[in-house]
Amino acid sequence: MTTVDVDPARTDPLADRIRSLVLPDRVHGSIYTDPDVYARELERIWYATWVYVGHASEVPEPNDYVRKTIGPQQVVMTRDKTGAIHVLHNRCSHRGNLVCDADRGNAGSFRCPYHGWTFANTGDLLGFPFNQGYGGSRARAELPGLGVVPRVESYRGFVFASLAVDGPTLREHLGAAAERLDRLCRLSPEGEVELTAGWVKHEVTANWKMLVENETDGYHPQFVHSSIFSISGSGIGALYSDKSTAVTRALGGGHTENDLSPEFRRLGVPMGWAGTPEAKIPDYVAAMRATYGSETADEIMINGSPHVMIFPNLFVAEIQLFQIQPLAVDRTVQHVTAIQFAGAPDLNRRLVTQCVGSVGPAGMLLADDAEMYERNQRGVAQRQPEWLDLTRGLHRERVDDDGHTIGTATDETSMRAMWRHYRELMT
Amino acid sequence: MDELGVVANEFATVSVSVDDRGNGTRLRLEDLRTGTVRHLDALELESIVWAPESWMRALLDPSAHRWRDAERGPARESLDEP
Ligand code: FES
Ligand SMILES: [Fe+2]
Repeated sequence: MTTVDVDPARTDPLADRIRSLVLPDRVHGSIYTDPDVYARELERIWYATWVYVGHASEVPEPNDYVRKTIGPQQVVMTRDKTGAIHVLHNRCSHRGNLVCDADRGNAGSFRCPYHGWTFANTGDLLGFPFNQGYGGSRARAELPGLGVVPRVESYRGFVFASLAVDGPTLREHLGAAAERLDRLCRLSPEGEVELTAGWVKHEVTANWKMLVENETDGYHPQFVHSSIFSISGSGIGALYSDKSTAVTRALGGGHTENDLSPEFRRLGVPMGWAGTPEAKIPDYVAAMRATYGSETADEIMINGSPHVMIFPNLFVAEIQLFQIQPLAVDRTVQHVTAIQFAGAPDLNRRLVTQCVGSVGPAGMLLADDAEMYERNQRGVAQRQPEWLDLTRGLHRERVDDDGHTIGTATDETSMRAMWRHYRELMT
Repeated sequence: MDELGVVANEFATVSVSVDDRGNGTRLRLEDLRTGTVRHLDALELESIVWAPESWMRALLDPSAHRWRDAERGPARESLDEP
């Protein structure tokens, strides 16, 4: 061990602690339960990096708006008259009331219900009642408008925001994960997804990182989801077996995926990944072949949709999209919707039905996972053993042609990669 | 009179109809939260269509009309000129 002289003014005991709690092959249970760690996660991750906010298709018309979140922060995503998208803090600049209450609507301006201060959907203060109390209308120029989230960028309609004024571009942040969003969009004959099916919110008493880890944990499906797989006759379980050719991949930047496409290619059936025979969605298949040509269309439809976790909060699980929102160290909401593909009404109807069965209010897939999150949170609060093991597949990790670390379908390659990135951000 | 519908969001609720009781048609707008009504004729509507954005922004200032005078409280109908 070497000792380093540190300037006492610059010591950071919390960083030291986090460094000792997050190791390459294990993490300490308190990383999920410690309120100080959570407070730093908000500052270093949720309020500093790019966070997924919403999709452009949720505000299709000028002056549309939707309420969204960046971690525990309430924001409003608006499209102004000129078509530009803004993300505003949902907090009145007078005395801090929540300005927007409806989940969505169309409004060029917002009027706070408390004292009537009125704001444009770009955040500008337009006026307030009884302005003599401020010395007349000129005061408007001096008083603040709504807080504007400083950086908003989108990729293929996916809108991300960062509360930090400076930092990497969204494209740099996404890295190789961007191509997974391309892969998703290619499944539309018009090259676009639309998040128009509505949202279900599932709240769990668990730390947000348990959800992030679970999204690309290929080890659990055969256990946790065996009942839904057996009653639905689903072949998904087999994709996560030792014989599977699927891989778990670290995409860099804490982004991870279960790449099931090798299995889908082995199956070789267009839309086999969705469990939907061509004959049931003839319009979709025809539209895809018209757009891409038969050969490419079949390749796209065979390869299927991605299963990718874009750190820290966007999870695309083939046919559904999750947005993860921490509310407290042990409370997390998953907002989930069925992915809809532009120009694919027959496929979209089936996707909604499938999502109702898997992640709807009485859906069987997410209910299984939610139970595990909550039990896991209670489990890690126990005193012994203190550590969570992350060694699965460590001995058989490889590097693929693109330089990404990969493991088998059930290996914990994705978790190790997530924690590596987390440690960098937090210390 | 043909009611065209209600235009509403979480901030306001206004019923819109075409009033043809006069010699020509007018738009009738009713603020359903107070019952206050304003008619707009074709030329007024056309002028709104062409009005600069700053005019509309000024109109959205509560102190420009209904909440102009704290002594009198909120107006019951559209105010005289200041
Ligand atoms: S708090 Fe919004 S107007 Fe007073
Ligand atoms: Fe699961």
